[in-house]
Amino acid sequence: MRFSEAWLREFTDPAIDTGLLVEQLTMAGLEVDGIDSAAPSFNDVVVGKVDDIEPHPDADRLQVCQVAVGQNEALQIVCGANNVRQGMKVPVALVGAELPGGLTIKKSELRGVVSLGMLCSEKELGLAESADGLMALPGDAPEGSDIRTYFDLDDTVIELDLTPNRADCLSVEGVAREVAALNKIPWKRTASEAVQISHPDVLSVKVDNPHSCPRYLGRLVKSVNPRADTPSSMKERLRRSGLRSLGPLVDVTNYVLLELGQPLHAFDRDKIEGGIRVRNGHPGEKLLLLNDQEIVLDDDTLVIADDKKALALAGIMGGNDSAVTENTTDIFLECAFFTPSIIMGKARQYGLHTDSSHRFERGVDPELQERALDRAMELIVAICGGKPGPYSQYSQSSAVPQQKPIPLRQTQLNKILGLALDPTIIQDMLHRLGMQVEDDSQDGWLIKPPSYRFDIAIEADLIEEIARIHGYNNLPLTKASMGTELKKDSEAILDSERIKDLLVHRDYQEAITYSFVDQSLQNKLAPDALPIVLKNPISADLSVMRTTLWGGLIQAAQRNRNRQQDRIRLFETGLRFENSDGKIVQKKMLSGLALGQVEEEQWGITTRDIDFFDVKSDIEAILNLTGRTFEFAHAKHPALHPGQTAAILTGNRRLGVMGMLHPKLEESVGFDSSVFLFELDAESLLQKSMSVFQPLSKFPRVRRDLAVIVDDKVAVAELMTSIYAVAPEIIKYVTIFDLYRGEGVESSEKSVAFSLLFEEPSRTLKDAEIDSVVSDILTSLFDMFNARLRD
Amino acid sequence: MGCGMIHPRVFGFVDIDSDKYSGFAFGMGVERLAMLRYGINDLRLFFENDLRFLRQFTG
Repeated sequence: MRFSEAWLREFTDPAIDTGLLVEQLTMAGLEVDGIDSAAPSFNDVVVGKVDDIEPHPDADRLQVCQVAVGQNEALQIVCGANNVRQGMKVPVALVGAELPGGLTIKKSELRGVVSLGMLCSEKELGLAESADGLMALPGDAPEGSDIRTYFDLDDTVIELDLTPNRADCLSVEGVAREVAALNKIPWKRTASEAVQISHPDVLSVKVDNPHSCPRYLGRLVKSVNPRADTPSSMKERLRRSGLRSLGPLVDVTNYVLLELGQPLHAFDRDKIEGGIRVRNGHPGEKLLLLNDQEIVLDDDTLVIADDKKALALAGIMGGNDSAVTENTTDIFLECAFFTPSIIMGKARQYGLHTDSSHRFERGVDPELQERALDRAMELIVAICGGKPGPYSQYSQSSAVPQQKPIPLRQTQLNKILGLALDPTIIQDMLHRLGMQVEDDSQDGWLIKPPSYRFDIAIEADLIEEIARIHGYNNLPLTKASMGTELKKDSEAILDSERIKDLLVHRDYQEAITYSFVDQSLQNKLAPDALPIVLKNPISADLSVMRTTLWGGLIQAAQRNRNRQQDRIRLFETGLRFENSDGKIVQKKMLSGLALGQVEEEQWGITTRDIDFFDVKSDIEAILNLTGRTFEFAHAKHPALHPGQTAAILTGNRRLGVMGMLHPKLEESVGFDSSVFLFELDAESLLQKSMSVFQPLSKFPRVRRDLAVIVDDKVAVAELMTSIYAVAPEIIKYVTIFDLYRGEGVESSEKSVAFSLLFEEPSRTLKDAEIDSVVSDILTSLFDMFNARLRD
Repeated sequence: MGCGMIHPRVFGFVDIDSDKYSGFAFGMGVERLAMLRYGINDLRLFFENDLRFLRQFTG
């Protein structure tokens, strides 16, 4: 809702400046979206009168004018406009004037004739997008007066972003009521006088369904002049509200719509056959609208029709054929109240949104019609002349929305707001809001809201009004207090933050990706899964729920890759969604992706590309936080390279999987280097195993190294397991310190070097004992894996 | 960011007596709060996972 502040202040004029007014409106719930100045800045433009015109001696299209601007002498100004007439009042830009767009007026010569200024059009003053010639000022405009003062161009235009429940403020009068209530000052309606009836003719009005249209008023006005000039003050107010001048009849209906909030429509009476009938459309019935759109009606749409055909889309837009034109002589002016639920959604159904539909959908004051029609009549007769007839009227008061009295309990009000306002203050607020207060013998009041506040229906609505007028900022602050209890913190549960911190310390960054993914990527990563498909995805490439977090991580990696990142390490915790026998199973997973060099490039180390074991190391670090034992076992996964995939197991349960993205997928997704992924069950990871103390041995440890050659396909983990199994009481640690392939070793084999640490808590181990165990180890390795000692 | 007292009709749907109980609800977009606090200018950055963005925020 856009309006001129000056116009508002004609209704009510609080002693506060624009800034404070704007703040007040916003705080009262009528949010000010923005303010603009009424006109772009310009200076030194005054009202002038064209005293004399003579054709330019040297230019066909120019004229030399003598223009009186309230100075001693008239100014000679050369003008090229085609509508300049003697006696005309026009805006004159004096020498030195700076106009919008950067034009500065200087004394000049046009084809040898001196020109001391410029006669202006609305366009040159920034008051219109285009103009047909000079701006014609009213005949009584004082010569020499500053145009900015004359048109009050230093006015501010205020734009309100109204919530749908405040339809009562979709008019300047409505906003004025609010402002008056907020400032505790009176407001006055625009003075208006009913016009004299000049002829007895009426159109008959028939309404099929009173529920759709409880009130319909109309008047016939004969002999109007549709070519009259809309007064510039009206044009200016329309312009400041964002409406163009479209001829006096439409301008008046728009003006009353803005002033009072009542939409009206003017029909060309000669295009109406018979009487008015408010009915539903016939299926398939066509109607050509004012905007040249032809629509096909259905039987659910309310139309204004005559005896033969539909004339207009009720409450939304008029028809083309019955619209007023420059040749119209008689008009029928409609002013109605349509039930909001009948109009709601209708405009959108036909792809329309008009100032009229906007108001009818939200609610127009059902008691406004007579006053609005009288006001419009008054303006039309004053501007276009014409002879008004009496009212055609249809009114079914039982169908008009009724305001039932609402009880407001003082105790409830105090309780909800958290403060006790003096009852006289509350009563005063209610009065200012137009609420009719009937004192109740009980606790509080019985309130009847005014007809234009149909948003007030229950006690809570009234309480809200009191809060609003009192000022939300003025409500007292009380801090909530809650009891606290010390909670048990179980050592058997690992805090997931520690896992995240660990990954961050290992140079991963946490990512958050969408729970829904692109279907084709999802299928590539998990071809055997049946993802849950969304009915209303936010976009076509986010249409299924993810069964793995890898989709989002891969897309994030691609995005980073496209922005010159070549070392990417991301992790994410989040839910994955599986279809399990028709039920949706959500599981929280911890997933990660890594590609590029192991370390950031730097002078102190030679860096290399990340490999399987680097990521395995990251996962081992996470698993170590739990204190439990885990195994990595060969596994297969449709998205991962068959030779570089491992399942992570605990006990016999699978905790997750890790590996290299399958080269085919790597290519199809567009990576040019190896990508490693992992996905672990985040809930299971949080189970911690409590530490149990192992007494320290007083006796030294003994280290023995051992290198064996074994078939390349043998998993080193299995070798280690079998080493431990030989003498678990004294073999404390086994680590691999070397892995060798190449010269000296068959191509299908590898050399694995172990370091064994022996320890016996009760005594020093003798060499002979250890030798014996080592020998057993070698035998075991040979028996199980055909591993032989390396020379 | 919307916030307010719970509408009596909403209480009605879950059989809570709105004369006895009142409630309030509010929603704050965590991303928007972060935007205000750290001066981030585009909401979409939170969902793009650009490393140049992620690395700017240490835990």
